[in-house]
Amino acid sequence: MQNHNTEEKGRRRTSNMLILFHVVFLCMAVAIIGKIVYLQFIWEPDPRYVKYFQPKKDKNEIDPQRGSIIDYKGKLLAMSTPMYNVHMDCYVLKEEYASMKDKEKGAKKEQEWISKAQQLADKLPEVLKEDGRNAAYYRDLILTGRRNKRRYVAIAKDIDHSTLLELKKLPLFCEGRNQSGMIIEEEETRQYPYDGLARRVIGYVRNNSDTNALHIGIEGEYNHHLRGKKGVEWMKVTDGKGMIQNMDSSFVAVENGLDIRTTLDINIQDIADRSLRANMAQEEDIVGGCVVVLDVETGAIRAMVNLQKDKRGEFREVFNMAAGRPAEPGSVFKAVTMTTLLEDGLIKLEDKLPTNHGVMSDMPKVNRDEYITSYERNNGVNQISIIDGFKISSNYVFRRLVKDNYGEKPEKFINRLHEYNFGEAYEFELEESGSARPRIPDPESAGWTIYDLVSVAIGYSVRVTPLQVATFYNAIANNGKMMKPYVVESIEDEGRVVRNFKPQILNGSICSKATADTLTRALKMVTLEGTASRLKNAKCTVAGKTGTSRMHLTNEERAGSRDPYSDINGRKKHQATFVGFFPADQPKYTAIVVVYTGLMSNNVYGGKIPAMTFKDIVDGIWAYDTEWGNVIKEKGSIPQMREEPISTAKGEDAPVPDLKGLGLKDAIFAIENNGYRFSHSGTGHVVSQTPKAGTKAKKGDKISIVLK
Amino acid sequence: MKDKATGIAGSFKSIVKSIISGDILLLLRVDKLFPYILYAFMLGWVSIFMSYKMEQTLRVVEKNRVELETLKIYHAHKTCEYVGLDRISTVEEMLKNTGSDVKAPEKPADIIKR
Repeated sequence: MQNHNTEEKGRRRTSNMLILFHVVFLCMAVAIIGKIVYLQFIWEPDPRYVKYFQPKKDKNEIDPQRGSIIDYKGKLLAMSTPMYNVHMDCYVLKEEYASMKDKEKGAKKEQEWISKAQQLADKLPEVLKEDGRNAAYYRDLILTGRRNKRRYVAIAKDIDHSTLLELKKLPLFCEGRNQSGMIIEEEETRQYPYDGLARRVIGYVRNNSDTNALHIGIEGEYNHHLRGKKGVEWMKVTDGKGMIQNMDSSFVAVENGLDIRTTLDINIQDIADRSLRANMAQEEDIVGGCVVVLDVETGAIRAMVNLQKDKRGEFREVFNMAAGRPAEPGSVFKAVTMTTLLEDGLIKLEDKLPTNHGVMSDMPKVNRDEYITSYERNNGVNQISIIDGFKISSNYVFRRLVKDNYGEKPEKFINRLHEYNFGEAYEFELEESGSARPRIPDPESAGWTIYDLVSVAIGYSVRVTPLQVATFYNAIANNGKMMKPYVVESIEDEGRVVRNFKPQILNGSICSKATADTLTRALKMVTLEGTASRLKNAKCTVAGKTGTSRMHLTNEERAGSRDPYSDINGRKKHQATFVGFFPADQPKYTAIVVVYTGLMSNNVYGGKIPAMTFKDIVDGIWAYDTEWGNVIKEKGSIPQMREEPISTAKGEDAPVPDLKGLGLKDAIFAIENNGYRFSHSGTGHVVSQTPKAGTKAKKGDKISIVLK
Repeated sequence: MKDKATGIAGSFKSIVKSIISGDILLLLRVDKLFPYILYAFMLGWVSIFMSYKMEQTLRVVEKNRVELETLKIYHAHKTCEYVGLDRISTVEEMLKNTGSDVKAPEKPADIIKR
């Protein structure tokens, strides 16, 4: 009975204990649930520590890649690539080593770090190749930085990816950021593979966020297409300490910039740039020059060179003179005068007029034309044909023609110039045209005199840009159809055309085809027998015209002289031009070359440096353009192909080939093809060979192989 | 009314008592739903497992993205380097520096037509 009671007591105690446990756990569960409810709905953490209670999220702003600029054949003119700046935390781990309990171990670790840093310093000059920075320089930089607790010491600036990879392999740097203190900063940088070529047309930016130079060239004008739009993504830390995109957060896809396809042909640009530089270098007083090459049919600009001498005497692309520098063009404007006279049916090329010793007797203020007196003297005549007057670029002839034909109705002549678009700045993609407004005198204005009319006839009293002159000549080459010059072909997204800029017509017919043909004939005579005879031997027949004009001087330059074109010492500034198209009979390109001089005593003529430059450009383009190559048809002679004898043994010391794993046939081929003999045993694949692969044997030696 | 209150109090008392004694689930006959509870647990486990696997995959994706980016950068640098070498003047200069007799063509290439 007593035992039974004892058992009963024990069972009850156990039951009570279990109930106690159960109640304790129950209370804990209630407390935990209560705490959860409290934390979730009631408790607010201290704002300073909120971030520590939330899962780590990183906002990642994705910078768009700036679009590329390409030439019309797809060659890259500007592109964006990351460049790297490398800094070093020289003080890395120093405190940790110093605070080690085992001082000896800490000192040893510090010594090891310094030793590796010295090895790094020894290798850095080999990789970075920077002038004046040797191993001693880097050693001093790093170790001084470590002593002075410097955590951001510049090691390399603007290095490319390959160099960065090499740096990462160097001692110490190969151990990563935490050990070496290597800090890598990536910066998207604009690259111009052709350096300064067409720099003024392409423009310049350092990177996509550079807003300083954005008004220049295509980089500036098309910045809104090129720059793209930023993207945003949220990242989160994974259990493995990696960062992944947080798919639960919002995401804004990055929009990379669009590509701009220009009309430029970088090879023609290179030819034009090189020719202009080489020829300008011949005359010390030349301070700048420009070249424009146009595609006749479309008006597309294939090359646009603008070179100005800087303070160091080097020619650089500084200002777009071709589109932004209006000036009196000189005799190249005589073609405009002649077109007007021909189109109005007032002259024929063979018409003659009296030479009158080059004197306009009815206009006493006009200077004598010395070219006419020379012509009279050389030819013993007192009459000159219009074509001869054009060939020798006689001012007298063109003044006389315009005075006689338009003297009573000058507005008719001036209106023609407006029809040729010389009176207004047409819209052009690049910025300078906005400020480059041309000027044509108005016969209705108070200051107008007959002298203005005869002055315009020879390219004075008007101000036009080289691009406008080229556009006019291009219209002549294009049978009277005047095309608007343009430099952007299309806007593209990964090769897909988003917007296409088609050629635009400025004037469907500035003159009849007959007039264009007659003028072409006259322009050809200029290069064959006239002032541009330097172009006679060009690879293509060229039709073109020279022009030389004096430039208006500023008050400062005149220094008291009354003549607006010369200073008190008689020095003048010139603009010398050659403009034309080629091949003359089937024109494909129109080009203009203009050079500008500083104040000088001598003269510079369009028939010299500009014509020589033009010839170099013609010759260069002709050799480069496959369209003008000889066509070899069925009967062409093509060199007979000959079979090359199969070379067998690779010489007396050819190494023995590795035959392991080959079948018998392949092994025999390999042995005999290398000039050896063979013996074999077994079947299957080669398991061993004598002599071994790679050893040297003589031609004809036997190689034994065992197959299994 | 009094009876109803007594009934509710009795039910509440028995619920508390069964919670304390630990047989509340049996009282509610939850044992019948045991397979479904197991199923719910399994779904929870699968969900956690899938999330883990997804994270692992995304880590690989992220790693590959970095790798691709590196290759793209390498490609861009090489493109830039080689495009610069493509310039006619550069080629001529390099030929000159190496003492080569090869020069830029002086006439256009012949065209072979069928």
